[in-house]
Amino acid sequence: MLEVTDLEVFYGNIQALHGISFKVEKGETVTIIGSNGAGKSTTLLAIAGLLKPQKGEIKYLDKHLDKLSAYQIVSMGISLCPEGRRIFTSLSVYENLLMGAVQRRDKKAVRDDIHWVVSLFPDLKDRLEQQGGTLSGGQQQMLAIGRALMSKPKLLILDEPSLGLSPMLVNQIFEVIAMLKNIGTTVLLVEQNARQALEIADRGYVIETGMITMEGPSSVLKNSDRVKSAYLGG
Amino acid sequence: MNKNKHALYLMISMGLFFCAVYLLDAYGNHYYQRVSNLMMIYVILTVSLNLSNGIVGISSLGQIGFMSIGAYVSAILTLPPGLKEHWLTGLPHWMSTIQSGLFPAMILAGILAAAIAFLVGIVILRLQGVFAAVTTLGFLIIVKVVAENWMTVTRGGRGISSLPTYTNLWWTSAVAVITVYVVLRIIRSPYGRSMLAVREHDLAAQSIGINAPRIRLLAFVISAFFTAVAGALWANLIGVVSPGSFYLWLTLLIIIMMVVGGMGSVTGSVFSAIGFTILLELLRGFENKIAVYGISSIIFAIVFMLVIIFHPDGVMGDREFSWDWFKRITPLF
Repeated sequence: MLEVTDLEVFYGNIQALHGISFKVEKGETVTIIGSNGAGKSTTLLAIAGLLKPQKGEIKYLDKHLDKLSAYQIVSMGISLCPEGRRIFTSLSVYENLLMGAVQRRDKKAVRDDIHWVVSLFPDLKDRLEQQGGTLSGGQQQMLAIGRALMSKPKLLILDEPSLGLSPMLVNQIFEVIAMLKNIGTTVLLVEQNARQALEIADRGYVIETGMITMEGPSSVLKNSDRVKSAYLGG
Repeated sequence: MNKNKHALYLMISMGLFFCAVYLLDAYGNHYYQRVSNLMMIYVILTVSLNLSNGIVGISSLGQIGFMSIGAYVSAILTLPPGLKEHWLTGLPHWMSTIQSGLFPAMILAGILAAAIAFLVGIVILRLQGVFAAVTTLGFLIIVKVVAENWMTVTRGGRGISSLPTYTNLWWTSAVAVITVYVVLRIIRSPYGRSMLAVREHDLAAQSIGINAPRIRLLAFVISAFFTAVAGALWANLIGVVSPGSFYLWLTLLIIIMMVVGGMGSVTGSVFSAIGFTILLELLRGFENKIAVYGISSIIFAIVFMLVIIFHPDGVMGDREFSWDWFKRITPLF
């Protein structure tokens, strides 16, 4: 479904990605794990069209994404839930969700989907009229994922959804990801929380200083000594 | 029910407003008419600036350049043909023989400025923050330099005088009301939500599929349109246009009015423009009385600083006037 080949991205003179290649098949949940500054978010921003890669190829359903703008990529069915939540604090929760469907014209279905998202995150239910900025961190993260779902993506990309959340909320977020996986959503999950990410994913990639250093089924990665010592705490 | 009531309040206040316009226009003395006209023009300018800078978050310092374009277009169109042939020798023959009324001049001024904003915006709006501020300031300077040197069309530094003073309070207040109405409608449309999203988080807005560059361009072009219309009204109010009129002082004045009213609040801009116009006139009277010239600018600056210190988001922030809020502060109702 998504195939990235030899991706290179520079920030000015600094090379952030040194030729990254990976793919995500339809219906799969794939995770990219790695430490801070390894290039995880950069990879995702390039896929979403928010950064222009200097070299390499991004193919999605056999079409090239590299030359497209972010909004065109969304219309093709890719939705990125960016790192650090980035919800619209001055809009209400309901409006935030509505904004996620900004390209859709099927107003009635959009309303139904808002109900669906709220059923996924019951915490949001009583807060639909509340301003986004007044939510707690966990609720904001749920809203951000919910907003990303509102475009009805074929491929959902999550950038560090568990960042800065309490263990209980992390579990809740991962439960929702598992649920989305069960209903057939293709998910690309980028995480520092390697343990839970590998638990949920079918396959994984390890990224270090802008390069993919390991890849394989999650069960294999989980048991590899290198991954264990570097990312799973021994 | 409540909605009907608010619509009634709105109609009553609009009725009162246009009664005041009628009275002032028919019986007011020249000075009050002049000040009220300026007030309405400032309202148009501040509200348009708020659309691009406050609501969408473009850091433009160049909007007054569009006002200048609007004023010159209107001046060239409305100048009597005899003077035109004499002064503006660079005009094509058919243009120097016609004299247009205010309405077509205003509309053409707006359309031309919007077209220029479209072209300039495609380039400039790729930049953000300080970079956008510097390049739009560059645009303002270019407009002024062109106006100063294109002798055969703008008459250079001497400016174009003897314009027919078509502008009256009916024109300025009607255009002000239309501007406020249009901008409020835009904010409350789905486009408006996209505009707020772009201002808050450009990246997040794009990641959910908002075409952020197009939203910015749209706001920039609409803002330029109304700004230029205000320029046309100005030209036919004062009767003279010259390059220096549309420069840093006016740029600064309008930015201050917008910031004090609240970036993102249309009604805040309206109140602020009205308040500052009155304040500036009172200070001018005060200055003449005590004969300490320049003191009004100092007081004006102090007022600005006080507001920024105690109300960093401006008086209204990004909220709008609402009758419920009005009721809370006026127990009379």
